[in-house]
Amino acid sequence: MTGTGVTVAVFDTGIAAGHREFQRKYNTKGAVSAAYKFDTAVWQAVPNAVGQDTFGHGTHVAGLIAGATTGVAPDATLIDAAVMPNGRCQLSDLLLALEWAATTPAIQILNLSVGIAGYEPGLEEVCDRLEAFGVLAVVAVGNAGRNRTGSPGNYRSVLSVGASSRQNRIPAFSGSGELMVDHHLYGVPDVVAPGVGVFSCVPGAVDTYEPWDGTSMATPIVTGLAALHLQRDPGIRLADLKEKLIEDAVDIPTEEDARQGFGVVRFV
Amino acid sequence: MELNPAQSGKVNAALRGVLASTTPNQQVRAVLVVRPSGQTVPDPPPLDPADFLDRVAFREAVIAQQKQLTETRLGPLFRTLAQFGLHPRGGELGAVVVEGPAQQLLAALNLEEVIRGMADAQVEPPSPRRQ
Repeated sequence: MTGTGVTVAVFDTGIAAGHREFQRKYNTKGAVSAAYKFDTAVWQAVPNAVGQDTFGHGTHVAGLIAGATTGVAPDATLIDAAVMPNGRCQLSDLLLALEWAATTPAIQILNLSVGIAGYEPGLEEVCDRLEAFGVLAVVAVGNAGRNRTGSPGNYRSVLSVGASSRQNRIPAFSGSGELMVDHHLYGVPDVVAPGVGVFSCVPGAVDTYEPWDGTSMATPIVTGLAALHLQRDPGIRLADLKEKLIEDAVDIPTEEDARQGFGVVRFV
Repeated sequence: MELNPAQSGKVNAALRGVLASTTPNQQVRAVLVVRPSGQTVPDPPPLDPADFLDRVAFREAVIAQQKQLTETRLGPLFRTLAQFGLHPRGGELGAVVVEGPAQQLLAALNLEEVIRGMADAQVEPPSPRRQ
């Protein structure tokens, strides 16, 4: 499984598509099939020049999804949704981008490493609707540590991702928390993935790599796994796909469930 | 401007702060989360991706279904917001971006279908750390 036939939208700062990780021997367009920026004044996704990332974050994230050597799903197709062109955006930009992704048939998975600190109930309705449109949102829980989470990474309708280390520990920065919503108590993250010293590509020279820490780095690893599952079973329901990723996760015996969710993801 | 308890209960802290320091005719931009009220069209049966040729065909069918549902359930509300002079944009995911006089935004918050108001605040990626 390499993610062939699966399209992922990367909601981030852009992707430096010229990096060698995104070049493809048999596809002159490379791994990044299209790029968009978002104009709330006309409420439209506007085609953007492929290959721009002014911040670096999006390129690192995209490399972990579909980089030729760094990616979990190296043959997945990426759409660069540059919702935070300079590392930040307004809530309205994010809303437009989510709506665009929900109504774009090619997109099957969203990778979201963005958030508002704390629990914002309003956006949960939006993410519930995103699920109704058949899109899996894989979202970073945040880097604020224990008992601190961000929205939408703390919603029930998304797959919430925290970080683990090479030593099978949960790093102090990885967010986690228990929330009571609509009389339901639940915890986030759902799962964890490697998020400490994770090597991936960064903008600059075509062969530049850096190790970064963060739940933003763990999230694309889970997104890549979801792409592998979708390639293997294109008819899988969204709820079953989430359940599969959760069920296959491996518990870290030395860590509390509250910090790791169901454990470290793996592909079975 | 002063918010009544119902309006105050619907807005987040950031929007409450914006409205508290605004004059009635000042332009305000916000995100309203909306939900149909009263008699609504029942949910259509969920579509199963296994019944379609591929995932794209499944998504096309879901999108058509959901767009129809949004128009039926929320179309009248979007037109009401437009009549308020709030220039609503979006709506497919149950949230609209509105922009207009603060007093009209307050009037919109009185509508039963408007369940939440949020300031158009800044969103950032969780800060990654380079090693």
